[in-house]
Amino acid sequence: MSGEQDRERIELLQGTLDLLVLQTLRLGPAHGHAIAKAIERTSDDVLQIEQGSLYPALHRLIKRGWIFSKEGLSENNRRAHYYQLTPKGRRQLDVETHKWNKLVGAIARILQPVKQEGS
Amino acid sequence: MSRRRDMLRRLEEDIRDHIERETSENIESGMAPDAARYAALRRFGNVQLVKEQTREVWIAAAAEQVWQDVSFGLRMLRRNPAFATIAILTLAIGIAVNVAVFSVVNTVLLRSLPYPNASRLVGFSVGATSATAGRFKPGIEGADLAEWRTHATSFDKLAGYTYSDKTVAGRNVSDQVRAISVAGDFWSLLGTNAALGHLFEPEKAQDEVVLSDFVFETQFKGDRSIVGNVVMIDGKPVTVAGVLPPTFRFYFPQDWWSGLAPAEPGVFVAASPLLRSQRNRLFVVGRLKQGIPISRALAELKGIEGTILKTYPDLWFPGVSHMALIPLQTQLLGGNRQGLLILQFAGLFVLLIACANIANLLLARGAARIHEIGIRTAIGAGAFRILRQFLVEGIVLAVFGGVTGLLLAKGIVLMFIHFGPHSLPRLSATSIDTRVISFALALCLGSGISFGFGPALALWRTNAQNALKEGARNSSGASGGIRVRRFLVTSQIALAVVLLTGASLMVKSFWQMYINPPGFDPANTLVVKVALSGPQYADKTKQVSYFRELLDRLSSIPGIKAFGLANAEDYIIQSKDPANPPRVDQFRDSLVSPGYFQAIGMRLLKGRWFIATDPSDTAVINETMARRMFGDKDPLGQHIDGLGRQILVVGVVANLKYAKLDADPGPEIFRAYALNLGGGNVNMTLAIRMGSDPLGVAPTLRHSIGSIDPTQPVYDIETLQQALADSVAVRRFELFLLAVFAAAALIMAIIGVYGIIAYSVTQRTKEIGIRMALGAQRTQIVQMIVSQGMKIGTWGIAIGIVAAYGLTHLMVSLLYGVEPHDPVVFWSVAATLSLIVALASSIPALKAALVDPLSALRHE
Repeated sequence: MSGEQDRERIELLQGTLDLLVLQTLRLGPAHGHAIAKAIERTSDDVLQIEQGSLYPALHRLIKRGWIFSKEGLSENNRRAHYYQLTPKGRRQLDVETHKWNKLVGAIARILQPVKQEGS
Repeated sequence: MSRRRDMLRRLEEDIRDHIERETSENIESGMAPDAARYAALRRFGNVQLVKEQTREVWIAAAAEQVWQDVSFGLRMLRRNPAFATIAILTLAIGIAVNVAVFSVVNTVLLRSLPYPNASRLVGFSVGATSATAGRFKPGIEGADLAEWRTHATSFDKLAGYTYSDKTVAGRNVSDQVRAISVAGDFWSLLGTNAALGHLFEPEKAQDEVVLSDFVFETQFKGDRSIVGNVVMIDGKPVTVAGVLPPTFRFYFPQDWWSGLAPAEPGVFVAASPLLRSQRNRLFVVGRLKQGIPISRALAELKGIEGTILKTYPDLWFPGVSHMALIPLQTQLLGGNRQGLLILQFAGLFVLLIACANIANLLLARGAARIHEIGIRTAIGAGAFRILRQFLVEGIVLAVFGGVTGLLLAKGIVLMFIHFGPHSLPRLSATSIDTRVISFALALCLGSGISFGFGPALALWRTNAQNALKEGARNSSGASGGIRVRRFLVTSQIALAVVLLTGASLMVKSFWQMYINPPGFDPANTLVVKVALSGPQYADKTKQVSYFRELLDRLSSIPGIKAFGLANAEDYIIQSKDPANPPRVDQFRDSLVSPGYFQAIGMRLLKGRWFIATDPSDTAVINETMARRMFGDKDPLGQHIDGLGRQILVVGVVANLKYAKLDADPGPEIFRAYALNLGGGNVNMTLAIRMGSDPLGVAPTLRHSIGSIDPTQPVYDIETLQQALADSVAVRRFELFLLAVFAAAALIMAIIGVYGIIAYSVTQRTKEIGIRMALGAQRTQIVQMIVSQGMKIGTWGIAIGIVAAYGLTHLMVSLLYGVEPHDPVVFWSVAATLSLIVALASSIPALKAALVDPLSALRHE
């Protein structure tokens, strides 16, 4: 990684990793590595996460009953733990997304007051 | 907990899987294998930290939830202070009685004696042929002990001892203390050393004494220079060889044969001058060699017996066939073992009843909480979570109750030590040690789980969703609970019946013991122990003149109606010819002066009393002796061949329990104490019958007797009633505890019945209103409610009576003059409990009858 790229990446806000994981799982069950890759890919590598920190987050979500894990076979017939949303997790994701959007909207309004006035 | 382990295992697999995938991706994009793996690890971050953080997620979960439950439980208690107080106190009492009784059981029954290899110590018990014959009788002669020590190989150590009360004088203080005369391997058997000086050698020592720490500290003020100096024991100078350590305890048996109660010994002297004399009977304790069973040791002694008899043809000792070797601890306890175990089980019954009461209270509250539980289940609380919450609540209660109970138990133990019977060996050493604490802890957890689990299960059966639908106030919502509660109250009553039956049987035993035959008036009879001590009384004529003087002086004291002297010893006759055994081989032989019979209050059935000129081979015998010895023949004028001479029977007296309350007297011979013919003895019991106020004469007595010889003070003066009461001190202790347990059980059972009936009345308010609106009379309502209580009561009583019928035979050894299945006791217990149940349910019934039908119908 070059220094230029590094400056472009931002650290994750507290708790947003949970939201990202839930969002990733909305598309369907996935194993740990796949989730990490998906988050990195869809954010165009802007979000800087240490892949390992994904796991405490996954377990936190299981404890809250928002996701569960089950064994499954991956593409090349390897055993892996697949994580999947529970109905409760799906509802939670909606709530969190809504909250997030409100937050982002509010911050955006504060940061770009002129533009908003003009619109 | 296993879920946590499972999750952490999955994490390990995930991490391995993750890094492999990342590595192979890196290789696909053209990296060298080593570099690819390194990059993957870097990208993953700190593996250990990830594991740590994940583990924390789960640990926090378990601990946090338990903590939530605990604080919830505490909050529930604080919100219901009345409930909390009642529940904690009930439990505290239940735990306290158990812990207190257990600490006695632990000390007296479980803890081994504080001597080396205590499990191999055996006591030699003469006259007993089985381990069940609890009483320890001495009666082994010095000569036997000496021969056994030389020839028997089954024993590591053998020691003999006797005891008496002696006057110890020195440093201007004189006091009467218990003295033990020792022989054989006494010190090494006890495994003790001297704290000061040395311990004399029992076989060689002459005129040496070892002091107990107590005597050393009190009488000699802890003055170390006393060691090696001379003190006077019964007027004889002896040298203080050493002082025993304060931790030393002498728990060897001391029995009633000498008329002295067991006491903590103050001095130890060597018994060597006594050892070879054939008329001195010893207690013998031995330590078996490793692996030698009692039967083999006894067989060996029997083998030696022939040679002993040849060497000493006129030994009194009745022989090994009349002797049992009994483990010392068993022997010390005698019949007390059964009593203590019964008390422990009675205590557990009380605790069970207490737990049932608390479970009932929790259930009553649980019924109110059924709505809450319904909601919690609906929002996703698992079955386990709700069960655990109840358990934690139960345990929180139990911990409070247990701590309070432990403090209470400490107080009860102190009371036991102060007021308990001294004849219960080692009672004074009772303490709360780790074993007692673990017992308390087990009780605590057990009860906490039982009254947490019960309600949880009961509520579990009432479907949570139904509860939500029906609404919390609806009566049928708690139907599962009420069934369990009815069961609990039924068992409470049953347990109370068992305890009450046991206690009543003991009360009746006591009543039987204290029924006095006409003429026997122990309250107005004084008994005084007179023991002559000192070299000046070694001579028989001196003894006789002392006692003659004593009787003279007594006759001049006003208010005395009758008086007499007696000296009693137990006798065992050896059967010389096994084919023709003696008709009576054990009896009590007493020398009594004329007037003794009247002083005690004996009743003459046949013949005559003694007169002053009767020689000592004239006898009055008791009924038992007459029946065993002569059958239907008239005993008057017959001779008894025993005690080495012919004894003429001149009278027969009725059996009288004047020595012990809890046993009928065995065969007895009273021989004339012929003072005029030169008979004498150093230990006599003086019986004095007063018209009234027996103890009022004590100062006069003390003065009058003391003035005969100031060196022979009178120590114990008590009424015969007190002496008799002392003989059943352990039983009284057991009765007291059992009665307290039964009372506690009864009160808790009453509360249980009242609680359940009152609850059902509030549940049925609407129904009662309807009934009354339809024309039911108030008396009918009362009847309906009371009969509901009686239905529970009858079941409980019936089960209790059946259980008691099966259990009371276990307490035979505690009973006297009462059959364990005494019908009067059983019927009265059943009747009493029915009445109490009726009364307990009539209060809520009357309340129900006062319900206003209109407001009851509006009640929802």
